[in-house]
Amino acid sequence: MSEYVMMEQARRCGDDAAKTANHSPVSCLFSSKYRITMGVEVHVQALGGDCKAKVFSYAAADNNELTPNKNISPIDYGLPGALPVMNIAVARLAVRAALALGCDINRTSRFDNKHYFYVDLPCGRQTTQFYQPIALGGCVPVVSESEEYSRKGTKVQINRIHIEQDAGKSLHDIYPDCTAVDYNRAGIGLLEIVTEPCINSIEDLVAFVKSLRAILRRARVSECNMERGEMRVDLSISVRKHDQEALGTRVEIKNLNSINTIIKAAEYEFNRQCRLVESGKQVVQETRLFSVAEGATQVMRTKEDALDYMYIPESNLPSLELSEEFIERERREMQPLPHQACSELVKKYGIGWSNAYTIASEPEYFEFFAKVVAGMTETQAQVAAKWMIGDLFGLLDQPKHDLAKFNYKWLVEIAELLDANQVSGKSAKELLRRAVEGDRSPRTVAKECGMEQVFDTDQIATVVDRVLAENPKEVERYRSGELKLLGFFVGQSMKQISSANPGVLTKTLKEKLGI
Amino acid sequence: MSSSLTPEWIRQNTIATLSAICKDKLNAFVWVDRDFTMQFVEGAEKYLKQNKPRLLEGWTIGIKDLFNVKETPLQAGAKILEGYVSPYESTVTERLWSSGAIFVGKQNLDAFGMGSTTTSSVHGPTLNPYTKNGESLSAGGSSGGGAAAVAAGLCRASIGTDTGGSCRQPAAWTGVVGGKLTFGVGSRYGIVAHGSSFDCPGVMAQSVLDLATVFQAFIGFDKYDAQTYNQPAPDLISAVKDLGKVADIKVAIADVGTGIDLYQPGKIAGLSTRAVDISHILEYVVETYYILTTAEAASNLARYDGLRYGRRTTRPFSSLHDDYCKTRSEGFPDEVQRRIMTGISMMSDGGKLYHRGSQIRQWIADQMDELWKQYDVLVIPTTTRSAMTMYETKHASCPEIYNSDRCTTLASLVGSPAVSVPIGLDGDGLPLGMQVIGPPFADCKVLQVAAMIEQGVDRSAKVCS
Repeated sequence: MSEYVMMEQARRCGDDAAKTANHSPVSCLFSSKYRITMGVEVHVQALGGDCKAKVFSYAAADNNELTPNKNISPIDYGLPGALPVMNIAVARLAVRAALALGCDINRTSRFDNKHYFYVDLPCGRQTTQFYQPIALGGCVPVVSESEEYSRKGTKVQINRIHIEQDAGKSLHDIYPDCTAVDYNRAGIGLLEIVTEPCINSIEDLVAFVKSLRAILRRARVSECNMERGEMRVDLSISVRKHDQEALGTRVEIKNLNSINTIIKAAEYEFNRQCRLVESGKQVVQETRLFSVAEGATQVMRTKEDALDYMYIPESNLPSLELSEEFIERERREMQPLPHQACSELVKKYGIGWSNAYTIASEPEYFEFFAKVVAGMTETQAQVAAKWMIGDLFGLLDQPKHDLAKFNYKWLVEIAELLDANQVSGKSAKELLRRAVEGDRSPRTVAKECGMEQVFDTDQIATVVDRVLAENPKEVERYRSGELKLLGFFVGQSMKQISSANPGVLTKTLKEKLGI
Repeated sequence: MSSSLTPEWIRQNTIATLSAICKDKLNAFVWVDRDFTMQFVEGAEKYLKQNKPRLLEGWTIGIKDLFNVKETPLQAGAKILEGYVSPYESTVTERLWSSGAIFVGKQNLDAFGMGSTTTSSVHGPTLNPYTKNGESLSAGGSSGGGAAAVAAGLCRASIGTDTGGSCRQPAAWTGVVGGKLTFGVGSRYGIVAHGSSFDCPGVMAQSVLDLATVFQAFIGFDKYDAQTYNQPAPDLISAVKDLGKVADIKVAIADVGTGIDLYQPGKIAGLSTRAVDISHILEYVVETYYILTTAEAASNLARYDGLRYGRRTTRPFSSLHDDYCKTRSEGFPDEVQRRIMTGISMMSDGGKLYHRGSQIRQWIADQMDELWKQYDVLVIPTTTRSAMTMYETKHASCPEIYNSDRCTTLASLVGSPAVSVPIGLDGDGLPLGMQVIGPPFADCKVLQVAAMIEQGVDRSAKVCS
């Protein structure tokens, strides 16, 4: 039965408790009494620059193909006589993921068939790795922009990574009276990353998903664009009382494809399960889907309808043998991972955690910043970081894309000028804007436009005297207590000497005003 | 490849072949198309204007209807593939056509290669050219169409599949040569899968040399079949032509209690032979074979649902599940359904029976390895009896029919090359076959011993009462 039909049925039968559910965030009442335990299965598509074909077929692995049923070879369409052949590029991505997550890599792994019938499964079976997966164990250090959170050192244990096939897409809305099936996605490789049930809060869950995504991106496994379906999450949730050791009955929620739905689904499900337990009922072990429209999870199938997948070895594929050289090569080419890069920026340059996290989160940012910061002092690096994120990003249409086109040396110069107090912040903004527009080196521009800050107290004193003389009323008001007017004097002075160092100017004004 | 092989001869021979096939009452062929076949003749004529004849130039070859031959219907003997036309070519047939072979038609089979009598096909049964007291006989199975066609002179050779004996047994029952080589030496790409760790493309022909020649045209590494070997293919033709070294081969002969008086050690074409007892191994082969192949078949046949190709149910259905049930119940004959259900049992509940079967299979291979330490080839009967009558096929029980595979399933379980050679007639004047089996990769030795036996026997002589 199609997922759509099942969801419709569930909705009509009235998952009553669910319908009257309170959709607001986790209620404090429940959290004080129950704790949540979660585990995650993440499916990451194997495609992109380093993996152009499907996992067992020579057809293109491409999510952008608009013509349905174009990227299919006989095996992707389930034709009689078709055979799978291993695409080693997928194993390469799996090895990268395994190395990045600290897993043990099985030099020998095997393929098995998982059997069930559905329209998007052209061979009536999915080729996967059940008995002997490519990697076991592993651990993900979970960090976020918050330094306080990150210092807790949360870790999520990985159970396994294995290689399997993606299914096709069934589309229920194209034709009025039937379901259309597109097999372009059928047979694209998937890396399935399974965690232990060790995620104990929704905050940890979100941070984990984001950390995992950042790691996989950095390790060149996948872009992990959830909107394009490159990374999908199945969530298992159970609840138990705080003092209860045994885990509660778990419910699986499949196919969550954005951070937002993950949060909503987890919150809804936690409430739903707590409500059941509170009222003395049992949580039924079942598989559910999250309906964005309803804001609720709904039954897909129960344990009674649970399918026996009848795993047997896939005889058409020999075991996957990985040589030491194959693995070593990936190990050699592995870049520092985001949490490592972040810690390094903090430790080496004293950059604030939040900025370091942002820079470390994207390979493009990190690579750019590495060039900028080479040979800088700590204070210069801190300035560069702040200005890259706070100002440069704002000037670029698509920072990830446009950073590479921006001459990193210009940011170096601006950071140096700022750090040496040679230009004011306001001037620096102007220099940066010009640099983005393709002007010459900031140092050159600064010199030409007279932006270099003036520290000369005599020069500044002359201007201040003039300003105070021109504005006697304001001087009067200031001396009788309207201290806010200092800003006015600063503004007036800046009009006459725009590159006055603000610190010196303010000091001089205060002296001359006598307060 | 004589100099008398001319385009004119090829054309005449092909036309004569097609005529004979038209008149065939054995129901050996299920699809024949004159225009399609004449394309091959035209291709040969064009090729021979500039080139020397190829290995199979002009050979008329029939193909079991399990192979994808581009643009021909492929039905696998079952309703569920009604209307399916192959959009791609199997590796085996592609290589045959490149060697100059002429396609003459698709041949009858037991549906999906499941059976030993060619009686489960949607096209009706195939008959044996031999009869017994006027009674019709089965041509054997599952490649019954191919064997009958060669026996009746309707084509020079036939391509079949051999999963548990499906080329050897019909060859034995119709009095022709038939067999398979080491698993993985022939590509399975484009062949409708039955048991993926058992299926081999096989050949049936009138002589061992013809058999070897056809195999030579298509064996070897195929990047589309991950179980083929990235090694140079063996030179089978030279091996069969040069029988000089054959005297060194040590032959084991197993008396399997058939009552067929064949196995006088020392008499097989002057080879050194010794009697061995393999009953302790044969005890397990049929059960192990069916445990594993039914499971693999259930898995391989899961794709047939009539949604993307083939025949979907025309009855109204209430859900997707109902659609699948109706389509598959209507589309598969009883024997196929029986095997799928059995296979499901083997795989269910953690797959305990399937895994046990795999262990026994390994044990059988280990036992055979012991044998291969002392002997180069093993000779046993191909079947325990000659062809069944059509009446018997309708009334024999399923276990009875499965058990008749006891001699052939052995080689299939261990991936061994195995060839059946006709060695004479039984008391009813019906053909019997003798099977030569070797360890994996002993393809040349097996063919050599088969050729020697062939030289030393009189196919028309009675060898038992």
